[in-house]
Amino acid sequence: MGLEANRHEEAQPVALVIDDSVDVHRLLRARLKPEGLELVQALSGPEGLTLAVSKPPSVVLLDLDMPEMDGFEVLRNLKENPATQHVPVIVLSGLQSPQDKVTAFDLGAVDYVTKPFDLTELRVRVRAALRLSQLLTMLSQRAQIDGLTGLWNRAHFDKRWPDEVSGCVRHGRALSMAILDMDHFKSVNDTYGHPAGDAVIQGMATQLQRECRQSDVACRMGGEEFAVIMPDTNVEAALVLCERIRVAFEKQVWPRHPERHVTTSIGLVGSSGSATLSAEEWIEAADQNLYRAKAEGRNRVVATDVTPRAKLAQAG
Amino acid sequence: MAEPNPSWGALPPLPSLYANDPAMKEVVEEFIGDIPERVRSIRTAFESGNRVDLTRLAHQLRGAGAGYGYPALTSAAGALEDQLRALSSDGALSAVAQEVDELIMLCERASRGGRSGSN
Repeated sequence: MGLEANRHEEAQPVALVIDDSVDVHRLLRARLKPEGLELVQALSGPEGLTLAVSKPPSVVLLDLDMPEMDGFEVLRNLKENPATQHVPVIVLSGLQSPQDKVTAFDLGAVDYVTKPFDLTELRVRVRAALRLSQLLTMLSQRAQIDGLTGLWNRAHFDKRWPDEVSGCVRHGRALSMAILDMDHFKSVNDTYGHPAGDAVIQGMATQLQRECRQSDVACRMGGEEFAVIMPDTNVEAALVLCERIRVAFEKQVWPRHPERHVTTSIGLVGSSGSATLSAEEWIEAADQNLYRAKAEGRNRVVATDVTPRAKLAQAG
Repeated sequence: MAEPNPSWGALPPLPSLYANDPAMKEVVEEFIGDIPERVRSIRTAFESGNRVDLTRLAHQLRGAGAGYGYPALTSAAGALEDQLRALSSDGALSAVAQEVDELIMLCERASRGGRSGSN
Protein backbone atom coordinates (compact mmCIF):
# COMPACT_ATOMS: atom_id res chain seq x y z
CA MET A 1 0.00 0.00 0.00
CA GLY A 2 1.14 3.53 -0.54
CA LEU A 3 2.26 4.29 2.99
CA GLU A 4 3.92 1.08 4.09
CA ALA A 5 6.64 3.35 5.43
CA ASN A 6 4.38 4.51 8.23
CA ARG A 7 3.33 0.98 9.08
CA HIS A 8 6.96 -0.03 9.52
CA GLU A 9 7.45 2.78 12.03
CA GLU A 10 4.63 1.48 14.19
CA ALA A 11 6.14 -1.99 14.59
CA GLN A 12 8.67 -2.56 17.36
CA PRO A 13 12.15 -1.43 16.29
CA VAL A 14 14.61 -4.28 16.01
CA ALA A 15 17.95 -4.08 17.82
CA LEU A 16 20.51 -6.60 16.53
CA VAL A 17 23.17 -7.48 19.09
CA ILE A 18 26.30 -9.14 17.72
CA ASP A 19 28.43 -10.39 20.62
CA ASP A 20 29.96 -13.75 21.50
CA SER A 21 29.19 -13.33 25.21
CA VAL A 22 25.99 -14.90 26.48
CA ASP A 23 26.17 -12.54 29.47
CA VAL A 24 26.02 -9.48 27.26
CA HIS A 25 22.88 -10.79 25.56
CA ARG A 26 21.26 -11.59 28.87
CA LEU A 27 22.06 -8.25 30.42
CA LEU A 28 21.00 -6.28 27.38
CA ARG A 29 17.72 -8.17 27.24
CA ALA A 30 17.00 -7.17 30.83
CA ARG A 31 18.07 -3.54 30.37
CA LEU A 32 16.60 -2.85 26.95
CA LYS A 33 13.25 -4.60 27.42
CA PRO A 34 11.51 -1.46 28.74
CA GLU A 35 12.58 0.35 25.58
CA GLY A 36 9.98 -1.52 23.52
CA LEU A 37 12.67 -3.06 21.35
CA GLU A 38 12.75 -6.43 19.74
CA LEU A 39 16.21 -7.83 20.53
CA VAL A 40 17.78 -10.16 18.02
CA GLN A 41 20.76 -12.16 19.20
CA ALA A 42 23.83 -13.13 17.18
CA LEU A 43 26.79 -14.88 18.76
CA SER A 44 29.21 -14.37 15.89
CA GLY A 45 30.01 -11.98 13.06
CA PRO A 46 28.78 -14.25 10.27
CA GLU A 47 25.52 -14.98 12.15
CA GLY A 48 25.09 -11.25 12.71
CA LEU A 49 25.57 -10.40 9.05
CA THR A 50 22.97 -12.98 8.01
CA LEU A 51 20.43 -11.71 10.52
CA ALA A 52 21.10 -8.07 9.57
CA VAL A 53 19.73 -8.89 6.13
CA SER A 54 16.97 -11.34 7.01
CA LYS A 55 15.63 -9.32 9.94
CA PRO A 56 16.45 -5.66 9.13
CA PRO A 57 17.37 -3.88 12.35
CA SER A 58 16.92 -0.21 13.32
CA VAL A 59 20.17 -0.32 15.31
CA VAL A 60 23.11 -2.71 15.64
CA LEU A 61 25.22 -3.26 18.77
CA LEU A 62 28.50 -4.76 17.65
CA ASP A 63 31.21 -6.31 19.81
CA LEU A 64 34.71 -5.73 18.48
CA ASP A 65 36.39 -8.52 20.41
CA MET A 66 34.89 -11.62 18.83
CA PRO A 67 37.07 -14.68 18.15
CA GLU A 68 35.77 -15.82 14.75
CA MET A 69 35.28 -12.72 12.63
CA ASP A 70 36.96 -9.50 13.68
CA GLY A 71 34.43 -6.78 14.62
CA PHE A 72 35.95 -4.29 12.22
CA GLU A 73 35.40 -6.73 9.39
CA VAL A 74 31.75 -7.10 10.38
CA LEU A 75 31.41 -3.32 10.49
CA ARG A 76 32.98 -2.99 7.06
CA ASN A 77 30.58 -5.59 5.70
CA LEU A 78 27.55 -3.85 7.19
CA LYS A 79 28.54 -0.53 5.64
CA GLU A 80 29.34 -1.95 2.23
CA ASN A 81 26.01 -3.74 1.86
CA PRO A 82 23.29 -1.40 0.49
CA ALA A 83 20.71 -3.36 2.46
CA THR A 84 22.36 -2.51 5.79
CA GLN A 85 24.53 0.54 5.23
CA HIS A 86 22.13 3.07 6.72
CA VAL A 87 21.55 1.23 9.99
CA PRO A 88 23.30 3.01 12.90
CA VAL A 89 25.97 0.84 14.54
CA ILE A 90 27.07 1.21 18.16
CA VAL A 91 30.40 -0.49 18.75
CA LEU A 92 31.04 -2.27 22.07
CA SER A 93 34.62 -2.92 23.03
CA GLY A 94 36.80 -4.09 25.88
CA LEU A 95 39.84 -2.99 23.89
CA GLN A 96 41.48 0.13 25.22
CA SER A 97 43.40 1.60 22.32
CA PRO A 98 42.34 5.06 21.10
CA GLN A 99 43.19 3.93 17.59
CA ASP A 100 40.32 1.45 17.76
CA LYS A 101 37.91 4.28 18.47
CA VAL A 102 39.18 6.19 15.47
CA THR A 103 38.95 3.13 13.26
CA ALA A 104 35.41 2.36 14.43
CA PHE A 105 34.16 5.86 13.67
CA ASP A 106 36.09 5.96 10.41
CA LEU A 107 34.39 2.76 9.31
CA GLY A 108 31.01 4.34 10.01
CA ALA A 109 30.00 3.53 13.59
CA VAL A 110 27.85 6.22 15.18
CA ASP A 111 28.91 5.49 18.75
CA TYR A 112 31.55 3.65 20.77
CA VAL A 113 31.03 2.19 24.23
CA THR A 114 33.76 0.51 26.29
CA LYS A 115 33.17 -2.67 28.29
CA PRO A 116 32.32 -3.29 31.00
CA PHE A 117 29.65 -0.78 30.11
CA ASP A 118 27.22 1.12 32.26
CA LEU A 119 23.94 -0.39 31.14
CA THR A 120 21.91 2.74 31.84
CA GLU A 121 24.29 4.74 29.69
CA LEU A 122 24.08 2.15 26.95
CA ARG A 123 20.30 2.34 27.05
CA VAL A 124 20.26 6.09 26.42
CA ARG A 125 22.83 5.76 23.65
CA VAL A 126 20.63 3.13 22.00
CA ARG A 127 17.69 5.54 22.21
CA ALA A 128 19.77 8.24 20.55
CA ALA A 129 20.79 5.87 17.77
CA LEU A 130 17.14 4.89 17.21
CA ARG A 131 16.14 8.54 16.90
CA LEU A 132 18.85 8.87 14.29
CA SER A 133 17.58 5.79 12.50
CA GLN A 134 14.03 7.14 12.40
CA LEU A 135 15.20 10.44 10.97
CA LEU A 136 17.22 8.70 8.27
CA THR A 137 14.23 6.57 7.34
CA MET A 138 11.95 9.59 7.15
CA LEU A 139 14.45 11.46 4.98
CA SER A 140 14.85 8.69 2.48
CA GLN A 141 11.11 8.14 2.29
CA ARG A 142 10.27 11.83 1.95
CA ALA A 143 12.21 11.83 -1.27
CA GLN A 144 10.01 9.07 -2.65
CA ILE A 145 6.57 10.27 -1.63
CA ASP A 146 4.19 12.33 -3.71
CA GLY A 147 3.40 15.58 -1.94
CA LEU A 148 -0.23 15.95 -3.02
CA THR A 149 -1.48 12.43 -2.41
CA GLY A 150 0.94 10.79 0.05
CA LEU A 151 1.30 7.88 -2.37
CA TRP A 152 4.72 6.69 -3.50
CA ASN A 153 6.08 8.73 -6.39
CA ARG A 154 7.65 7.77 -9.72
CA ALA A 155 11.16 7.60 -8.25
CA HIS A 156 9.95 4.92 -5.88
CA PHE A 157 8.21 3.00 -8.65
CA ASP A 158 11.38 3.09 -10.77
CA LYS A 159 13.37 1.71 -7.87
CA ARG A 160 10.82 -0.85 -6.76
CA TRP A 161 9.56 -2.27 -10.05
CA PRO A 162 12.75 -4.00 -11.26
CA ASP A 163 13.12 -5.61 -7.82
CA GLU A 164 9.61 -7.01 -8.00
CA VAL A 165 10.13 -8.36 -11.49
CA SER A 166 13.37 -10.11 -10.58
CA GLY A 167 11.76 -11.44 -7.43
CA CYS A 168 8.99 -12.83 -9.61
CA VAL A 169 11.48 -14.45 -11.98
CA ARG A 170 13.73 -15.81 -9.23
CA HIS A 171 11.04 -17.28 -7.04
CA GLY A 172 8.33 -18.02 -9.59
CA ARG A 173 5.85 -15.80 -7.80
CA ALA A 174 2.73 -14.26 -9.28
CA LEU A 175 2.89 -10.56 -10.15
CA SER A 176 0.58 -7.96 -11.66
CA MET A 177 1.01 -4.31 -12.56
CA ALA A 178 -1.58 -1.75 -13.61
CA ILE A 179 -1.25 1.74 -15.07
CA LEU A 180 -4.22 4.05 -14.49
CA ASP A 181 -4.87 7.24 -16.37
CA MET A 182 -7.86 9.48 -15.74
CA ASP A 183 -10.12 10.21 -18.70
CA HIS A 184 -10.51 13.80 -19.96
CA PHE A 185 -8.73 15.06 -16.89
CA LYS A 186 -7.48 18.19 -18.61
CA SER A 187 -11.04 19.34 -19.15
CA VAL A 188 -11.80 18.98 -15.43
CA ASN A 189 -8.92 21.33 -14.68
CA ASP A 190 -9.90 23.73 -17.46
CA THR A 191 -13.60 23.80 -16.61
CA TYR A 192 -13.54 23.72 -12.82
CA GLY A 193 -10.07 24.98 -11.95
CA HIS A 194 -6.95 23.41 -10.52
CA PRO A 195 -8.25 22.98 -6.96
CA ALA A 196 -11.00 20.82 -8.44
CA GLY A 197 -8.40 18.85 -10.40
CA ASP A 198 -6.32 18.36 -7.24
CA ALA A 199 -9.37 17.14 -5.38
CA VAL A 200 -9.99 14.52 -8.06
CA ILE A 201 -6.35 13.37 -7.91
CA GLN A 202 -6.61 13.06 -4.15
CA GLY A 203 -9.87 11.21 -4.58
CA MET A 204 -8.17 8.62 -6.77
CA ALA A 205 -5.41 8.25 -4.20
CA THR A 206 -8.03 7.59 -1.53
CA GLN A 207 -9.67 4.93 -3.72
CA LEU A 208 -6.32 3.25 -4.24
CA GLN A 209 -5.54 3.28 -0.54
CA ARG A 210 -8.97 1.87 0.20
CA GLU A 211 -8.86 -0.94 -2.34
CA CYS A 212 -5.22 -1.90 -2.36
CA ARG A 213 -3.84 -4.39 0.13
CA GLN A 214 -0.92 -3.99 2.48
CA SER A 215 1.48 -5.65 0.07
CA ASP A 216 0.47 -3.54 -2.96
CA VAL A 217 2.54 -0.52 -3.99
CA ALA A 218 0.39 2.38 -5.20
CA CYS A 219 2.26 5.21 -6.94
CA ARG A 220 1.37 8.52 -8.47
CA MET A 221 3.51 8.62 -11.59
CA GLY A 222 2.76 12.24 -12.40
CA GLY A 223 -0.19 14.41 -13.42
CA GLU A 224 -3.22 12.17 -13.63
CA GLU A 225 -1.32 8.90 -14.06
CA PHE A 226 -0.97 6.20 -11.39
CA ALA A 227 0.60 2.77 -11.20
CA VAL A 228 -0.06 -0.12 -8.86
CA ILE A 229 2.33 -3.01 -8.28
CA MET A 230 0.58 -6.10 -6.96
CA PRO A 231 3.03 -8.75 -5.79
CA ASP A 232 1.84 -12.34 -5.39
CA THR A 233 -1.25 -11.54 -7.43
CA ASN A 234 -2.26 -13.18 -10.70
CA VAL A 235 -4.06 -11.28 -13.43
CA GLU A 236 -7.52 -12.60 -12.52
CA ALA A 237 -7.29 -11.29 -8.97
CA ALA A 238 -5.71 -8.05 -10.16
CA LEU A 239 -8.53 -7.59 -12.63
CA VAL A 240 -11.09 -7.83 -9.83
CA LEU A 241 -9.17 -5.22 -7.88
CA CYS A 242 -8.84 -2.86 -10.84
CA GLU A 243 -12.53 -3.19 -11.69
CA ARG A 244 -13.47 -2.29 -8.12
CA ILE A 245 -11.28 0.80 -8.34
CA ARG A 246 -12.71 1.76 -11.71
CA VAL A 247 -16.31 1.39 -10.59
CA ALA A 248 -15.85 3.17 -7.27
CA PHE A 249 -14.07 6.02 -8.99
CA GLU A 250 -16.74 6.34 -11.65
CA LYS A 251 -19.50 6.46 -9.04
CA GLN A 252 -17.73 9.06 -6.93
CA VAL A 253 -19.56 12.39 -6.60
CA TRP A 254 -17.32 15.44 -6.51
CA PRO A 255 -18.53 18.29 -4.22
CA ARG A 256 -17.15 20.98 -6.54
CA HIS A 257 -18.91 19.54 -9.60
CA PRO A 258 -21.56 17.01 -8.61
CA GLU A 259 -22.94 16.95 -12.12
CA ARG A 260 -19.65 15.83 -13.57
CA HIS A 261 -18.24 12.41 -12.84
CA VAL A 262 -14.69 11.38 -13.70
CA THR A 263 -13.64 8.02 -15.06
CA THR A 264 -10.34 6.20 -15.50
CA SER A 265 -8.80 3.88 -18.07
CA ILE A 266 -6.61 1.06 -16.85
CA GLY A 267 -3.96 -1.05 -18.57
CA LEU A 268 -3.21 -4.23 -16.65
CA VAL A 269 -0.61 -6.98 -17.11
CA GLY A 270 -0.20 -9.99 -14.85
CA SER A 271 1.31 -13.41 -14.46
CA SER A 272 0.67 -16.47 -12.30
CA GLY A 273 4.31 -17.47 -12.32
CA SER A 274 7.78 -16.52 -13.52
CA ALA A 275 7.05 -14.38 -16.55
CA THR A 276 9.86 -14.01 -19.06
CA LEU A 277 9.38 -10.30 -19.68
CA SER A 278 11.93 -7.73 -18.62
CA ALA A 279 10.86 -4.89 -16.35
CA GLU A 280 10.67 -2.56 -19.36
CA GLU A 281 8.64 -5.03 -21.41
CA TRP A 282 6.08 -5.29 -18.63
CA ILE A 283 5.68 -1.51 -18.64
CA GLU A 284 5.36 -1.41 -22.41
CA ALA A 285 2.69 -4.10 -22.30
CA ALA A 286 0.73 -2.25 -19.62
CA ASP A 287 1.05 0.98 -21.61
CA GLN A 288 -0.29 -0.73 -24.71
CA ASN A 289 -3.26 -2.03 -22.77
CA LEU A 290 -3.91 1.45 -21.44
CA TYR A 291 -3.80 2.80 -25.00
CA ARG A 292 -6.32 0.16 -26.07
CA ALA A 293 -8.57 1.04 -23.15
CA LYS A 294 -8.57 4.68 -24.28
CA ALA A 295 -9.07 3.75 -27.93
CA GLU A 296 -11.96 1.39 -27.14
CA GLY A 297 -13.99 4.03 -25.32
CA ARG A 298 -12.25 4.76 -21.99
CA ASN A 299 -13.56 3.96 -18.50
CA ARG A 300 -12.49 0.35 -18.73
CA VAL A 301 -9.79 -2.13 -17.84
CA VAL A 302 -7.82 -3.93 -20.56
CA ALA A 303 -5.83 -6.85 -19.19
CA THR A 304 -3.29 -9.35 -20.51
CA ASP A 305 -2.03 -12.54 -18.90
CA VAL A 306 1.69 -12.97 -19.58
CA THR A 307 2.05 -16.26 -17.74
CA PRO A 308 4.39 -18.49 -19.83
CA ARG A 309 2.37 -21.12 -21.72
CA ALA A 310 4.16 -24.03 -20.06
CA LYS A 311 3.14 -22.79 -16.61
CA LEU A 312 -0.42 -22.25 -17.80
CA ALA A 313 -0.53 -25.81 -19.14
CA GLN A 314 0.74 -27.08 -15.80
CA ALA A 315 -1.97 -25.20 -13.97
CA GLY A 316 -4.28 -26.94 -16.43
CA MET B 1 42.94 -25.31 45.76
CA ALA B 2 41.22 -28.59 45.00
CA GLU B 3 38.64 -28.06 47.75
CA PRO B 4 36.71 -24.97 48.67
CA ASN B 5 38.29 -23.23 51.64
CA PRO B 6 36.25 -24.18 54.71
CA SER B 7 36.73 -20.76 56.27
CA TRP B 8 34.78 -19.16 53.42
CA GLY B 9 31.50 -20.16 54.98
CA ALA B 10 32.24 -17.65 57.71
CA LEU B 11 32.46 -14.85 55.17
CA PRO B 12 29.25 -12.93 54.47
CA PRO B 13 27.27 -13.59 51.28
CA LEU B 14 27.82 -11.13 48.45
CA PRO B 15 24.52 -9.74 47.17
CA SER B 16 24.14 -8.15 43.77
CA LEU B 17 23.73 -4.37 43.66
CA TYR B 18 20.63 -5.12 41.61
CA ALA B 19 19.17 -7.78 43.92
CA ASN B 20 16.03 -5.69 44.47
CA ASP B 21 15.77 -4.24 40.97
CA PRO B 22 12.69 -5.86 39.37
CA ALA B 23 14.13 -5.44 35.86
CA MET B 24 17.29 -7.27 36.83
CA LYS B 25 16.07 -9.88 39.31
CA GLU B 26 15.63 -12.62 36.74
CA VAL B 27 19.01 -12.27 35.05
CA VAL B 28 20.81 -11.98 38.40
CA GLU B 29 19.23 -15.26 39.47
CA GLU B 30 20.28 -16.82 36.16
CA PHE B 31 23.83 -15.66 36.78
CA ILE B 32 23.85 -17.05 40.30
CA GLY B 33 22.59 -20.35 38.94
CA ASP B 34 25.56 -20.43 36.55
CA ILE B 35 28.17 -19.72 39.21
CA PRO B 36 28.89 -23.33 40.22
CA GLU B 37 29.54 -24.22 36.57
CA ARG B 38 31.84 -21.23 36.12
CA VAL B 39 33.77 -22.07 39.26
CA ARG B 40 34.15 -25.69 38.11
CA SER B 41 35.56 -24.50 34.78
CA ILE B 42 37.96 -22.10 36.46
CA ARG B 43 39.22 -24.84 38.82
CA THR B 44 39.62 -27.32 35.96
CA ALA B 45 41.52 -24.84 33.82
CA PHE B 46 43.83 -23.86 36.66
CA GLU B 47 44.52 -27.41 37.80
CA SER B 48 45.17 -28.70 34.29
CA GLY B 49 47.49 -25.79 33.50
CA ASN B 50 45.21 -24.56 30.70
CA ARG B 51 46.30 -20.95 30.45
CA VAL B 52 44.21 -20.11 27.40
CA ASP B 53 40.97 -21.31 28.95
CA LEU B 54 41.71 -19.69 32.28
CA THR B 55 42.39 -16.36 30.62
CA ARG B 56 39.18 -16.58 28.60
CA LEU B 57 37.12 -17.42 31.69
CA ALA B 58 38.66 -14.54 33.62
CA HIS B 59 37.98 -12.20 30.68
CA GLN B 60 34.33 -13.25 30.51
CA LEU B 61 33.76 -12.77 34.23
CA ARG B 62 35.52 -9.42 34.10
CA GLY B 63 33.14 -8.25 31.43
CA ALA B 64 30.01 -9.67 33.03
CA GLY B 65 30.53 -9.16 36.78
CA ALA B 66 29.72 -5.48 37.11
CA GLY B 67 26.78 -5.80 34.72
CA TYR B 68 25.11 -8.27 37.08
CA GLY B 69 25.82 -6.03 40.06
CA TYR B 70 29.11 -7.52 41.25
CA PRO B 71 31.85 -4.93 40.74
CA ALA B 72 34.05 -6.99 43.09
CA LEU B 73 33.91 -9.89 40.62
CA THR B 74 34.89 -7.65 37.74
CA SER B 75 37.81 -6.37 39.82
CA ALA B 76 39.05 -9.80 40.88
CA ALA B 77 38.58 -11.33 37.43
CA GLY B 78 40.36 -8.34 35.91
CA ALA B 79 43.30 -8.75 38.26
CA LEU B 80 43.54 -12.44 37.33
CA GLU B 81 43.34 -11.73 33.61
CA ASP B 82 46.00 -9.01 33.78
CA GLN B 83 48.35 -11.30 35.74
CA LEU B 84 47.82 -14.11 33.25
CA ARG B 85 48.59 -11.86 30.29
CA ALA B 86 51.74 -10.63 32.04
CA LEU B 87 53.04 -14.18 32.57
CA SER B 88 55.96 -15.26 30.44
CA SER B 89 55.14 -17.92 27.82
CA ASP B 90 56.56 -20.74 29.94
CA GLY B 91 55.35 -19.31 33.24
CA ALA B 92 53.57 -21.71 35.55
CA LEU B 93 49.97 -21.03 36.49
CA SER B 94 50.90 -21.43 40.13
CA ALA B 95 51.99 -17.80 39.90
CA VAL B 96 48.32 -16.77 39.82
CA ALA B 97 47.05 -19.13 42.53
CA GLN B 98 46.22 -16.24 44.82
CA GLU B 99 44.18 -14.41 42.21
CA VAL B 100 42.30 -17.58 41.33
CA ASP B 101 41.57 -18.22 45.00
CA GLU B 102 40.29 -14.71 45.49
CA LEU B 103 38.02 -14.94 42.46
CA ILE B 104 36.56 -18.30 43.45
CA MET B 105 35.96 -17.06 46.99
CA LEU B 106 34.01 -14.10 45.70
CA CYS B 107 32.02 -16.36 43.38
CA GLU B 108 31.17 -18.62 46.28
CA ARG B 109 30.01 -15.66 48.36
CA ALA B 110 27.96 -14.35 45.45
CA SER B 111 26.25 -17.70 45.02
CA ARG B 112 25.02 -17.43 48.60
CA GLY B 113 23.94 -13.80 48.40
CA GLY B 114 21.38 -13.59 45.68
CA ARG B 115 18.17 -14.28 47.50
CA SER B 116 18.80 -12.33 50.68
CA GLY B 117 16.81 -9.14 50.92
CA SER B 118 14.92 -9.67 47.67
CA ASN B 119 11.22 -10.53 47.77
